[in-house]
Amino acid sequence: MMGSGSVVVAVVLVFYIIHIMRAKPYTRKKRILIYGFALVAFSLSLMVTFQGNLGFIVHAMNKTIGGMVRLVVT
Amino acid sequence: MSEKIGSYQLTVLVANFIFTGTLISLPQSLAEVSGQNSWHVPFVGFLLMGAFITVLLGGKRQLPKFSRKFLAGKRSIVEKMFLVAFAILFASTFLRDVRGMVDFIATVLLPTTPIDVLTILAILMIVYLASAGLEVIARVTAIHFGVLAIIILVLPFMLLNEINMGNFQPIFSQTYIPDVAKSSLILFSWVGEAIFILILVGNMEDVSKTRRAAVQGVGTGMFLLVIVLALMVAVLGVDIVKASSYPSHQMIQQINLTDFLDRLDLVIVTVWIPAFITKISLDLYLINRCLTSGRNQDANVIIVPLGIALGMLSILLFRNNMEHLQFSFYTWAAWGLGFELLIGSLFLLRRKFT
Repeated sequence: MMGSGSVVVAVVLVFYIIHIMRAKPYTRKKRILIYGFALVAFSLSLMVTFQGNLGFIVHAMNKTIGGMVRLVVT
Repeated sequence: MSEKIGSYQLTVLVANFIFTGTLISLPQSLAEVSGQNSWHVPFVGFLLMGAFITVLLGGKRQLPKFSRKFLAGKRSIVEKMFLVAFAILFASTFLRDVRGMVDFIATVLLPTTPIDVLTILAILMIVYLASAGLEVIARVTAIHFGVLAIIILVLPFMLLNEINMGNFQPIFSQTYIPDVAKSSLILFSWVGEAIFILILVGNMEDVSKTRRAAVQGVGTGMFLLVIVLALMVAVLGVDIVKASSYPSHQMIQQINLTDFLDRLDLVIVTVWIPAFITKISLDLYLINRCLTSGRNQDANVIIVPLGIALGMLSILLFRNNMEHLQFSFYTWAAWGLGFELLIGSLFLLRRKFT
């Protein structure tokens, strides 16, 4: 079902933030870091849900670095 | 460093790290390059990696003194570069391994389950284990790798009726040395992942035994890989190994002990997957350790979103299974090797100026 991954990620992240913030008082800098990481993780899960694609990065690596290695070994 | 592991645990961590990853589909690439002689390649991998570890860790006397200073106190520029290179290498390893495992499960075990759900479920297990710390990872690895090693050692007997010795011929051909050398290039970047021991030097109970334990781990992993590769060639033949995406799985499907033990391959896969999960947990632990500058303070604060983000990236970065395989076989040979040599050089540089 579409979006099931994002829902699971959201639930996990909410539990994580509640748990981590109750554990001990963090400095403002550290709180921003924690929320930032959680936001990045959730954004990436949304990208997966909406079938985003960063495949061009690995594709370019395969064509350049991988292509050279392939020339050598085959 | 509060967490301590023994030399036996380091041996098991190293062996599990280099064996379980190579098991998925690397044999295909090795067979493609060196054919029926692909089972000779791990011997070269062992010699090269053994020499690399010996050069890096050097003499027993200086190592305990150095381990107390390495990544302790204020970071030098070399140490910062070491941590950045380390984090990039093991983040790439994590992405490659998670996608490899998820693709395997999606192809062989759960073809109708969405790949993102499989990834998240795997990540939750990985994060749980990684956040428990190095000692727990080492203990869990010892259990799972022990069972996996026993199964691999018993495999030749289970496949005895399927072995065709003719598949090994011709043993030496004119292109034997170039072929084995090319395959070694592919394998070395995978075996070189054992370089993770450098960051764990400070976690050893007896630092002077680190080198020996690491070499023993590489030896154990390579010995098991020789068994798997030789069996693959003997049972399936080179042509099938070259064409199969998951030759190890195809090989264990050939086990035919009795009529009622039909799906013994599933039992073996359920032993391999936990061993592989412990390997990926160690990957995540190492990345987290680098991001927290090698210290143990507040180590688990970002491990959950970090694991999830990397898991999602493993889906986003590889368009399909073919791109992942191409990355693992060819791109990784240069990418991994480059970072491993860089990390080794930085470590040597840091040792020299201690």
